[in-house]
Amino acid sequence: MTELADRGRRDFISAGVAAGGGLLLGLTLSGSGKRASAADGAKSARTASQLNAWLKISADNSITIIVDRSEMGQGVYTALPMLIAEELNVNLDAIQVVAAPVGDAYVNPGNGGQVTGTSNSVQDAWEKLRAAGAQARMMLTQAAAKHWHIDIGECRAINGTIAARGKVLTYGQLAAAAAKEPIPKDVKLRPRSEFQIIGKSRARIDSPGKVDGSAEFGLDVKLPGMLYAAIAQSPVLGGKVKTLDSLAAGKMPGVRRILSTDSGVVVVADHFWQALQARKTLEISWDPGVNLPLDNELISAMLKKTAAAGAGLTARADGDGTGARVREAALQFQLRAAAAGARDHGAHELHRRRQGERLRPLRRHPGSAGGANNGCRGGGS
Amino acid sequence: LQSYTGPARIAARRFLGIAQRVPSPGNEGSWGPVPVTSITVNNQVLNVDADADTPLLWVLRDHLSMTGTKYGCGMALCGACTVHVDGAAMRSCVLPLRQVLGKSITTIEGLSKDRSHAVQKAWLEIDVPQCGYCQSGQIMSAAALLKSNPHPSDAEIDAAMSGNLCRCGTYPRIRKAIHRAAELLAGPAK
Repeated sequence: MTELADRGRRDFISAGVAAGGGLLLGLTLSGSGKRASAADGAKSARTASQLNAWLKISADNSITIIVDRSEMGQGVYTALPMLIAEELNVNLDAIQVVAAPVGDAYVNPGNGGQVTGTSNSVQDAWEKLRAAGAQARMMLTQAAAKHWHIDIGECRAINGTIAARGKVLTYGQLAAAAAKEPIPKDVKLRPRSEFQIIGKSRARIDSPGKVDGSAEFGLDVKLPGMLYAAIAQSPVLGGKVKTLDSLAAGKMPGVRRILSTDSGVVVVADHFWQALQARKTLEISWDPGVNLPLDNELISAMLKKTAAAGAGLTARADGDGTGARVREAALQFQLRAAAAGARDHGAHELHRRRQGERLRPLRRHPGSAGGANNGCRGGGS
Repeated sequence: LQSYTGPARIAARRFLGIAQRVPSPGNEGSWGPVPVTSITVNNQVLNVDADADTPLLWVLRDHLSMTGTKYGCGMALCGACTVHVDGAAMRSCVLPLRQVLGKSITTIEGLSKDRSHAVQKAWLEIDVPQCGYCQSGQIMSAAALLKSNPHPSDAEIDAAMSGNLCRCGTYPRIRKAIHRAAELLAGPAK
């Protein structure tokens, strides 16, 4: 669809040479549960749209990852670089994160959209980004060994450099040569006991922009010639407009267009405030449709009926039940608005609602990189 | 993507080595170029062509492209839009332009040039923000509080900050950071 996506197909298939000479690794954060790394990325070169995150090491020693997941307070811009930094043997401060723009190349194959959610960013990236970091480190090491005509076993990756026999080359110096090295297939990741970065609290990298107003939120995006719309929608889901009188709204200052959609009326104006003011003057009578009687009780009754009719799902099946005491209960949960998050520092903790509200330790789970900050963060991904 | 000119796109294009396209003059927005009034924001006199009853929030965001000040509720209930008017914390979403003419407005962008205001320093030290949406308003309220009360107690902080909501629940860190900012403002420890 765009030149960016087109470039993605041409230039960002597995490993390659970056503009200006450097190392690029394409990898997949799919959310589909399918494991993929730079090596797999090479195999799936025909489906370049699946390569939606890139690690770039430039000649000037800058290290960048482009991430297709939104930072929405869950710490993903800090946590994902931590995974790379751990295996790449660099200081976390050396890594810059670039937010992926909208584009086909960033569509999450797991759900068909450019979506961040269901708390899966770190779980999904947990092995992939570490593997990508390790692969990049190994390719840099291979390049250094070739350059010095020595055995790869003599080379050590230390804080953004490769060192051997008292000689040192930076990642930036090696990046162009490393891009020509084969992507290692056999990748050994650091055991948990050797983690230097993962699992340790650190300041979020997105905080500076959030204390000076420069962080860009969805509401802050401005396009050339952009107009603003205020939408009037039926108070009942699925309701439709029965009658509309928009005569007064059309005469309000700044109003450009008044449009009808299946579910409501859209007032388009030069400025958002103008659109909001004009929306107030719309005279709409609604046809509420079939959902008018829908309320909590009805939803609850429908769920109970459905649950009683089906065989249900087995969530877990451990042991054979011998000597077990059977408890039966019907549990009903309402939709919870509260955010929740988990943190791993030896044992898991689950927090909800607010920082510091500790619920209980949970069993260990391999797919967690720990909180990106002091205390546990709210939900998101 | 073609026409989106925000920081994310610029950064992405830079990352990908694509030449930057500079928006042509006169194509930044749809409003006309004729100024009808001027206001003082962050020590700059700026021309705006908004109606006098337009809330300051929208003048800042839409007309002046200062998007650090956030739209939350539009009813002065959440504090996300807090700015300083002649030094006092005000909710810009219900403050008509006509009421700030001739007054000095300070937004999050003008609190300091380089995040060097004591409140911003403390905010970074304590790493207060989570999603960050409310934080401009929190910081502006905190800065105004410390101006009038350089050493607020927990209770005074809670009272002064009660109009600034944080859905992430960063309140304990906000309180801690305000105490820290008070220390920073008081100067080096004796």
